[in-house]
Amino acid sequence: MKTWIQPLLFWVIAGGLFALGTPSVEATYRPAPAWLSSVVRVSSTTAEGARHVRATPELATVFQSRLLQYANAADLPDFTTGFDGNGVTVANDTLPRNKYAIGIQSNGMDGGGCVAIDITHPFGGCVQIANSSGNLVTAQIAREVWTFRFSYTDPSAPSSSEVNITSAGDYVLEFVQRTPGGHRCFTFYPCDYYGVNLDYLTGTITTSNPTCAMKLGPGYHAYIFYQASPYDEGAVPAGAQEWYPPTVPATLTRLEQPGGTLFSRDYSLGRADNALSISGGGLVHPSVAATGYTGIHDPLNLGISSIPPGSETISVASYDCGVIPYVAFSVSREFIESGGHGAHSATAPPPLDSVSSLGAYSGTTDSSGNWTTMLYAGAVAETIKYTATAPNLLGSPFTSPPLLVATGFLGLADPGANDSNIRYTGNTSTVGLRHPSNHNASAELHAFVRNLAAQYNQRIADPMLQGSLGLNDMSLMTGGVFDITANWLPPHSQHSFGVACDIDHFVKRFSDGVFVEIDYETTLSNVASDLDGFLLIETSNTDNLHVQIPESQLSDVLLRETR
Amino acid sequence: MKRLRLLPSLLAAALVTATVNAQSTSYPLADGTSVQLPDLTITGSTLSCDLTYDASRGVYRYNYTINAALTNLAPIQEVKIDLSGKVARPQIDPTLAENIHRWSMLQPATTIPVGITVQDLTQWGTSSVAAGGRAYFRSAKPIYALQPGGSKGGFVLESRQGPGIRRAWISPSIHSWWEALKTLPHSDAEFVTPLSEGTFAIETTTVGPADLMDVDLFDGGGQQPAEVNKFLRYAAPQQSRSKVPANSTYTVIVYYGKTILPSTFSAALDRTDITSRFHPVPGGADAITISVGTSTTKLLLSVDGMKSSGGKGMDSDTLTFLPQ
Repeated sequence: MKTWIQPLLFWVIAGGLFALGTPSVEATYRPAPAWLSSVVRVSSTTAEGARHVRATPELATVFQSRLLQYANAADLPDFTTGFDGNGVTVANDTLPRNKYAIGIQSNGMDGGGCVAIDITHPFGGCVQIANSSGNLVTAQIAREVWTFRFSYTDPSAPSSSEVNITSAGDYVLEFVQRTPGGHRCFTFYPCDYYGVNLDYLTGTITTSNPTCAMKLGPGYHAYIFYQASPYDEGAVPAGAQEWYPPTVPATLTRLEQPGGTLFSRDYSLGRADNALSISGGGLVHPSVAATGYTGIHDPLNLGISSIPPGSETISVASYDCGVIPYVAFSVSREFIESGGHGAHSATAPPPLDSVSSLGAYSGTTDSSGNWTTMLYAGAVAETIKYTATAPNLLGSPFTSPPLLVATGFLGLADPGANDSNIRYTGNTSTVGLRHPSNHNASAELHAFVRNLAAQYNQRIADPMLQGSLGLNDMSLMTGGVFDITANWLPPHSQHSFGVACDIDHFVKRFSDGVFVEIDYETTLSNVASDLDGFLLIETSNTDNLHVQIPESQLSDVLLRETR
Repeated sequence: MKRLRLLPSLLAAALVTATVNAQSTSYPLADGTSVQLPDLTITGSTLSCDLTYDASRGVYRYNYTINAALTNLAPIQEVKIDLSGKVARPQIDPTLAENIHRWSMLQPATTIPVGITVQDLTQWGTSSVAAGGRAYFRSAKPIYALQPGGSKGGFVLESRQGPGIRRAWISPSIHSWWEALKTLPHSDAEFVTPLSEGTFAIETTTVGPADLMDVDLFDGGGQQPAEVNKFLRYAAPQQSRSKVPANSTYTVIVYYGKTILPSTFSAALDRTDITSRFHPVPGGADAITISVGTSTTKLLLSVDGMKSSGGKGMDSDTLTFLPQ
């Protein structure tokens, strides 16, 4: 019977850190999830004939090994918490040297089975050895060793020596079929102490950290070597082969290879992928040409008749294990839909300056490798991808990772029409479908319109006139120009920062769903006055009645939304 | 005779009305067209306040009258008075007279608590304290809005807070806009700038309840010791010599000390005795509006009071108004 346990194996070679404690069995070990056996076959037999079962090696001793890069230490897996890490494939087999680590990550390891004839073809059969009677029998594994290695060989000098590039050297993982206490065990764990078998590891990660001292270019290797022995340690018969495959001795230029190769990847160490970088805060608020809070609607004398565009400093730096001074570059822009104009932005994206613009689009980094300019928001809440490109960065063209800068008011939300006094409208017609998400607003506005609708029905009193008020356009997902005509231009200008809502001209009666005309001039106006909001006439047909929250609530909105 | 004398006035009013009604403004729409709408000018409208103090209740009574200028082009729909204060208080004081219905109680806690009484509840009963902390008096329907040349009184705020100069806003009815827009062909075009009565609303000042601290009151200067100098203090003006527009009015807000002897109070405006216009009550206040012409105007106020030592003292202040 196999015992399923799921320990942590976390070995950071470069750091020399073996991050496995000896916590209690309860805390560290738990049964493997039931789904695991259906996903990964960890032990098998092969039927051969009606009643004969032939032993085979384990399907694979290391499952799904792959070479991944990790941007930060926090991206490394933590198998004890079920976190498989944020490793990503090493693009073009080249590790940017600004990454935290490169690692061999597997989905698990199995110990035991028979000794494979060919470790790369585990179904190819088992090694046969002579027993004490001289008969050939299947060699069952008594010991297994996996050796994880990161090494470097200078490709420009074929005769140069292979060197281990991790400070702690190889990481060697060993499994024994029979511990002194009679347990199957990966030996890093005190199986006998806890009285358990440990013959399966959920995942493994072995890493190497690049440093600025490492040579750029190819010549780097990642390996998993493997060998198994049918004999317990110290019990190898005279003349018998102890390890399958055997160890390949070191040469003058190559390191020893302990067994066969289960996994092998060559990779290059590349320049930092941010050797030229462009950075900034990534978020600015759009300009608002007219807020409506002027004159009588500015009782607090806030003087916020308009909202100037947000701005931030954009920096370009040239640095890779040291300053790279005087790098000439240019900055390009690309529109990214993010603000809820999707229905029309694909066919006619906005003028980029209406989203955001830079003070300069080219320059040269200074002696410290730095350059800055200002970014200014436009009136349209969307996103621009900025990318810096140098035609010659230490001899070759280089493009920075992109910087996404969103123009928008990020605090706007749509809680839904969760109140019987209101209903959402304005997003199903031809015009409405241009901006189907049209009820984004500040919390103050959502509260205001609910109070407005509730008090309207209280004041109107007559059940034949009471009903749900239709809430039409508020703001888009992140505010900005609400171009109902799909041309990136106002009007609807005061719908750009989540403080305004259009009220439909008809109330849907509670009693029978019939639409009745809203009492705008008297009841709704009186309610708006009581709530200290204000009503505006937005269209000449007066179909929609525009309301805004009181200025007394505006400060909170602007404090949250502008920067 | 009375009819004959009245006729020219009516004709003049009709002429003014006909002339001003012709005034209008073109409001552009986003589609390039525009809409001509009548102007809603209400410049010249005022909100006057008659202040009394009920010493037995410790309550100030602010009785307002809305005065619509004859030259107004639109009826007055609403007035709002700033009630923002500095101290958080319960917003309902049951000892203050009130006859209106409060539909909401969303004003900031620092709003000065008031009781609201409206004489004409039918036409102007839509009055209360708005969520922003402003008292408002509003005609319930457009047809009840105050026509040009008219005045409407009977709007009362009761408060335990003494008077100060407060901001106030007067708004026209936009009924004529609605009527005009209804006659237009249907169009989805939006106004480049949404229409608002705010375009024609006016901001003014009036006397209203205020959260005034000692530091906010001007003692008039002059007398010693200091306690005597506080027998008469002023929320307005804030200095002995004040520049004011020529041919205008100025509202003096005087606070009386708690130990004054009311019978000794006297007031003279450019040597004319106007004592009777004041109502000196120990611990109370008055708001008196005086006219300022084109020459320097002096207001002399004087009162005796009891000092803490038991003796009498006299506080006499001269307030000078310099027409500009």
